[in-house]
Amino acid sequence: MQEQVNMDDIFTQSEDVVSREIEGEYILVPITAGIGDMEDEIYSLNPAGRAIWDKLDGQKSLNTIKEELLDEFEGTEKEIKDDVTGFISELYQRKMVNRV
Amino acid sequence: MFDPSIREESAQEFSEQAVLQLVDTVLKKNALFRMRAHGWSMFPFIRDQDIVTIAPFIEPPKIGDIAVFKHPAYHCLAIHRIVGRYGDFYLLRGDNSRQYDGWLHSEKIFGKVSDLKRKNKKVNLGLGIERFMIAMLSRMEMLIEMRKSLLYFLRPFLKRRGVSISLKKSTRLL
Repeated sequence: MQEQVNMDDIFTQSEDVVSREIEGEYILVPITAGIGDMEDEIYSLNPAGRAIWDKLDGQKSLNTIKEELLDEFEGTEKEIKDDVTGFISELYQRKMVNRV
Repeated sequence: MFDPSIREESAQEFSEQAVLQLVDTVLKKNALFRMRAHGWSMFPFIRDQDIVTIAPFIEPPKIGDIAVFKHPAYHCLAIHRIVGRYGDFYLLRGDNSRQYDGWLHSEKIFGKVSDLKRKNKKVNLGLGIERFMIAMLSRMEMLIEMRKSLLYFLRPFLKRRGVSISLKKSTRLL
């Protein structure tokens, strides 16, 4: 079941996730119990996912992020809103972002 | 189309350079990094497909530590033992390798192997207090010969127990 995410919510990247661009791919490594595990948990973000990730600074609401994305990407307001909430829900379920 | 997504990656998809950067990034966060070892250059203490946990150095590296570094010749991630020290420079060599990797400054060494698992079982041999002796034997060119002699005498017993012993030529680890 997806976590309920509202457009007024503010999220920040979890401190327990290490991120870095490597060979053109944006990689996320969750640190679980102090360990990054290459055999179990390594993720990559596509360019749209990275655009959202970079904006999760703990200050902007999802509404503000959506407005910024409307200027940067093609898509209707509803499409981008649905994509943002769906993506953030997934990250939240994986404990990669924290609600402020 | 916008469509943001997150995808789970398989360890096999990463190039050697990418693994290097991953290890460097995670250790700089003072976290540990767990990954699968490839190769036989640290045989018998680390074997192909063992799972190694790499930790950042909290105190200066010591002789006998199994260091993780970018190999100066092959430019890939290597996991070899520190067998010598001169100031801030360290001499490295695989336990099953006849060649030294060369002297590396401590800044070039990412971390050390702090834990080892083989087939889901913890392996301690080579990481404990005996590591200093292993490093000394390696430096004195005696480690490989001693291992071979030991295996020669033990082979009949090990065969009887169904243990297969490999004397593969040394290869780079990772």
